[in-house]
Amino acid sequence: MRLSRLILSALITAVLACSGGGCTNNSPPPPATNSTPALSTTASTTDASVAPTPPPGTLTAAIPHDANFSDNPQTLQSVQHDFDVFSWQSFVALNWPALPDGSPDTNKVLGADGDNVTVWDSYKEPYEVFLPDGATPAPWGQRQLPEQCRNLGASGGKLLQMTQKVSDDVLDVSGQPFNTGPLVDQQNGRYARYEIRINRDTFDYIVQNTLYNKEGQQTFTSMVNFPSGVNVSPTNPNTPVGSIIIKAAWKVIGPAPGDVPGRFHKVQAYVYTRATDNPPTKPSCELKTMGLVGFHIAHKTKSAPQWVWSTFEQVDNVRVGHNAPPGTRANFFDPNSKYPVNTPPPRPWNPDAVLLPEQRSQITRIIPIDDATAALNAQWQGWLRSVNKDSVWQYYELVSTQWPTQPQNSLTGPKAAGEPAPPFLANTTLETYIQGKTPNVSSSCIMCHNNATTTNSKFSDFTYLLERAHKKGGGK
Amino acid sequence: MSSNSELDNFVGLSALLTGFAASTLNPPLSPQPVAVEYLAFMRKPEADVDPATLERLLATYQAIALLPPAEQPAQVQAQVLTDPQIGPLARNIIRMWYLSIWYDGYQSGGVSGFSPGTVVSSNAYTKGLAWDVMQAHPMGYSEMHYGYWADPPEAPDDSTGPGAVEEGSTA
Repeated sequence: MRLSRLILSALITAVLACSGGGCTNNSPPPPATNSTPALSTTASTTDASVAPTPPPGTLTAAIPHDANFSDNPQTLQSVQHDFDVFSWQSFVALNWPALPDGSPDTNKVLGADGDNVTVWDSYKEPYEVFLPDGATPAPWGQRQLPEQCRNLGASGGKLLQMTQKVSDDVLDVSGQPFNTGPLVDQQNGRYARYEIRINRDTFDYIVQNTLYNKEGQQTFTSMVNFPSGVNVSPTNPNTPVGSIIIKAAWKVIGPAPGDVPGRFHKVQAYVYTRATDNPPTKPSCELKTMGLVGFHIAHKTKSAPQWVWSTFEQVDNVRVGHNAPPGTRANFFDPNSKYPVNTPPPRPWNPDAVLLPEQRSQITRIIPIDDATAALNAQWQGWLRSVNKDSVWQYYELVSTQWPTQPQNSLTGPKAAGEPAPPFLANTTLETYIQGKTPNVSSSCIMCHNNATTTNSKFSDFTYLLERAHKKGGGK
Repeated sequence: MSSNSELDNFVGLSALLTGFAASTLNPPLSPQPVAVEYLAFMRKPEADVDPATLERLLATYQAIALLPPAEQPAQVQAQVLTDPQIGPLARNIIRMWYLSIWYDGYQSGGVSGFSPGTVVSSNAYTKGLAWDVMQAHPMGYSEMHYGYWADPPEAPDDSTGPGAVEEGSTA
């Protein structure tokens, strides 16, 4: 790593401006973390013995409101780097140890306890917002479980019910483009599960504008426009963090060979399966230990009206990552399997099934993580390891960050997507079967979400969530 | 592989030929700069472009670029479009920018929309300037929002014509 004296000096200045070892939520990200690391290794070559201490103020609970842009003139590479740093800052802040009310515990440091309850665990889930009867959602901080989960006790930290990225509820109304197939882990043969969470700025906007039911959307005549994150400045110290939507992918963590729990952020979760006709299954709910394998952060910011799209994965997803103990197996790839790669399991798809080893997912990454992002990953992983050699957070890597290179383009014109960079981006756990480089077909966060609408077919500002609204009193 | 000066000359010439600002034709942060693809395509054998003719076209522009901006369009007309060798090449470049297609047989003139040609790339297909002018999109690829057809098109922006606005960078 190469940090100049000048940058270190700026760092110290930035740190002195923060109190208590971490900046407040309204502070801009420390500029020094925008320094380009000189590493040229890939994430898989990170040396376990090297755990450089992060520059003070780097690992903070402050969610960045927007990216900080360091170079002038800007280049594609420099802005990509700035957004990648923004992604890592967001990942650290969102996963920061949380107090019981969901706010970050600024007396702790991420990973000091190995693993922790995270800030985003307290964010709202869509099923809590878009109620079957179209009623006003419960206030921030309250939750409601499906009946099948209520008698399992109170030990579950979260509810995981989706077996694909878009819920059954939405597939009923939006067709099949995302029904590309489930993902099955190698160690346990179980389906991956998914969840979506929204932050308070997103929730408040939906509630304040009555966008949680169809009637409210019908009477909303403006263009949907979620709040943008704005960096604080001396003249504007109280700026919004902006709308954040998180998608997470989880796999069962079992006693199975090759499963190494210490390499995952884990939760005790209610794993809920809805009743289906094919195959015929009853609704069920199990309490399981689940490990985080995929993590999307969509964040609307002033510099990105098309939102910033960050995506992280656990490092063992498609190959065994760095510092793995002997016997560790990749989560979704077995070099000895003959199952065709990037192919969904055979139908019928039963989320409760335990698949045979020869039917489990064989997933490869189509577009490699680029060298600059891999070098940044190694840097941040090293910093996380320096907090605690047993921190689970060192075992996550940024795949990339997608952002609009032409954010000023009109959202009602022919180039509304703002020419995203990189043009294509996929997480192997969330866009498993639509990786590639075919325009309008392969996974591209902005290009896809540019098509999102409300229930009355109006542009919904890059989120499909508003399609989940029901009529007042019930029904679609 | 083209040098930066070649690319700059190609983009500068293209701005005069198409009426679009250079920064619109080759946005500084573009992850898939179509100008690079177009220039590279003209170097391929299938484009059937005489390298010496292309060099002369770019060199002619380089000299015109030294003139006051207000005089440059007329000089492109006089020195480029009326020239029997580089004129047809320049016209085919205009077609390529607007329609994303490199038309065969351009040297002899008489190229029409029905002439055989090659779509330069899938990226180029989505970026034909004709769609910007029409405020529309190519078949099979749209960034416009569902239901856009119910609303009148937006007023054309200032990206074309003599007063074309140089768009700034993004972030």
